[in-house]
Amino acid sequence: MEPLILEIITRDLHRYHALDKPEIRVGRALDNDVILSDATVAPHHLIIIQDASGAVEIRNLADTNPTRFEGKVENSFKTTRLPIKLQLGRITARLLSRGQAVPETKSLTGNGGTSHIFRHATWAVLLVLLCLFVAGLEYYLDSFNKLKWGELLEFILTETAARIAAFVLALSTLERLLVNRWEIIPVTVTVCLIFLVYHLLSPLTAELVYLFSSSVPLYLFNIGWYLVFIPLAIWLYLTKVTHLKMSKSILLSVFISSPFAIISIMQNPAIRSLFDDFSSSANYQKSLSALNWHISKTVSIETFIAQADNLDAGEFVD
Amino acid sequence: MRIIRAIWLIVLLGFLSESAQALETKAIFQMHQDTVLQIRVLNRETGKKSSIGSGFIIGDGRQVATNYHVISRIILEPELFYITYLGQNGREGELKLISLDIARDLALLESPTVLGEATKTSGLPPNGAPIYAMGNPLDLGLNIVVGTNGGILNQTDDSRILFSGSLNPGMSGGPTLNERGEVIGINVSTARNDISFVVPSRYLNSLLERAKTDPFEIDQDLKVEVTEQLLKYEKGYIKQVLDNKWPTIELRNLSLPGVISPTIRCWDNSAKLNATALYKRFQIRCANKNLVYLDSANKFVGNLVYEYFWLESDQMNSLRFNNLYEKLNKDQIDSHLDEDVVSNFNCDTWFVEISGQEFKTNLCRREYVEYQGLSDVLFTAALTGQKKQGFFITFIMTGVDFKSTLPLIKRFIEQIAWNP
Repeated sequence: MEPLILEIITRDLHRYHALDKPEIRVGRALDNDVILSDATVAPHHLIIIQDASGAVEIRNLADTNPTRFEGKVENSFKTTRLPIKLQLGRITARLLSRGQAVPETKSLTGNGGTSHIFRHATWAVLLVLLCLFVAGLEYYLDSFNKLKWGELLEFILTETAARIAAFVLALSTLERLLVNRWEIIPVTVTVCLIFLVYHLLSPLTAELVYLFSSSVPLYLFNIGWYLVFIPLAIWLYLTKVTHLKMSKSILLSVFISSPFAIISIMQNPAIRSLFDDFSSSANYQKSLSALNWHISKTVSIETFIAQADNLDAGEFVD
Repeated sequence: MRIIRAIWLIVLLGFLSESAQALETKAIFQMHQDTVLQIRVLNRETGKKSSIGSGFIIGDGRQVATNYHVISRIILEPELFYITYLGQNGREGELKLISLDIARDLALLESPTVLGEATKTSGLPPNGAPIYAMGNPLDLGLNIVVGTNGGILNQTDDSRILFSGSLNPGMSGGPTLNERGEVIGINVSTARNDISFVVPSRYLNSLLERAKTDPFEIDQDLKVEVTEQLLKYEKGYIKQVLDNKWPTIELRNLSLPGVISPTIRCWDNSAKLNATALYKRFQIRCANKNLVYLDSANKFVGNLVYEYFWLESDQMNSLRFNNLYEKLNKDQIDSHLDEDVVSNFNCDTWFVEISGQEFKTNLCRREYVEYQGLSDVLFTAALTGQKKQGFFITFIMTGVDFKSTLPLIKRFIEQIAWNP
């Protein structure tokens, strides 16, 4: 007779009980073989009996929240096929055989690599410092008065450091709720990477807007960033770093990124302009570039006036 | 003794002259108290006043002159509003619009019956001469205001007389009279503090002539009439500007069109900079004064505004300078009209060579919902390719025919000269 395993499913680290007796009692009372401290579980909820032939019989003892066997309420359930899914109150459990295969081991260091940046504190610190440097550089490039170091430091601490810390705290708490673990380092690395990618793509997008004399790259960036890149980054993190299942990762990435997407849609003028039918402002091409790369040819005044003559009238909004 | 007598004589003369003026004002008031009317635009549904102003009997005694802006509500909603008059003697009745001059803000109304003796018009008295404005300020009753003639203002395209008296709301459309009680103009607007404006009577005479030769038809679409008049006026104005010799103004490395019309005034508009600023900026804003009242929704059109903005820095690198340059490159059109009034702007971008320099230019236009053919035009040009110098132009015209602005824009940018 092969001993059975009772798997109690939790958010991440499931509990496993080896059932090494022919008759095992499960419930909330302390005289049970397997004790489940959940208020929805009866003091004596069920008995698992295994006979010499290997068949398993499970008897329900609970009047309140009776046991569900593979989703059905029955007083007794007998089978030789494992695993069996059980529902005891709000506790989900599985009865497994010892020979049940377990999923492939996920490497902490990625696909055999030795420098998985999501696991090393050094990488996290370096990336945080890089983020602060980028923020300081941006502050410098956007300041048009003599630089005051105190103000620069205040900006870095109150704007960038505080924001990164807030995101790390929020996402780490979320991960703690999801998988019962604090994952400060991978979350910090992820937040910093997203920050850096954003600050790399923003000026690139501005150059593209100037290059094509069109706002389309900006619209694509704004939409792509919040509706595609952020959910994708979270999904990758959840599948590759947290090792959640695909379906759960997709749902969670959409769930986590949707507030950012909604806020960005409500606040971003480029995105709002896609939904607003009317604007009393002239949304012309205001972008300017130090590189001055543009695909439009430079024309004479005569050509400009001749082409301007064909400028279509503005569209009325019904 | 002689000195005391002389002082008495001066005091007496002063007293007598004040008495003479007071008598004259009273006489003028009495002369016109039955010819000046309150003009009211009433809502047919509620029967209540929507707007009020003043008017006076003119022409053959059935006609009443007033301001266009007093009765403009009937242009957009003729089925809902109608015009009436109320005389000093309590007599009232309906009036119909028979002609208008939108550019000068004049309207001519007509009653089915003779309303009284028509006023006579006259030319402008010498500058400094006393003139008298009559009307119904704030719906409080007929009143007369004494002031002096400040002459024709060329910055308003000769369509305004400066009146150093206090016109108040409700007096619009009332007569401005000379010492003989003849109409020299029509009250139109105020800038407060005894600075008011009057339309010269010669435009009223032209309107009377037009009403004889080309009166409105009963079901005429007044919006079409308003649009045609406005377009004709603006085209004439643009031609007048193009016919002028344009003086230039210098701004750092550039020679630029200066005051391109007597209607335009230019002001330094440079903002005060922080003491720690790493850049310098200089701004000149030029704008015309001859705006045209369109209606209560659109307010004024006929703007011709151009602004020059120079930016330089020898203490910032090119990336930092460009960030500042881009940040200051703002939309200068500041009307907040809604979609019931205007269309969206349609804009396009060109890179244009102007005086050997490359400029990124944008041209935008939007149309008026109720006035087909009327557009607002926005032209901008920003100097490119300079590492530490920036310059941009904003050029705006409102309530114009789009195509007729292009020769003006062409000449405007052709006149820009880069002096290295």
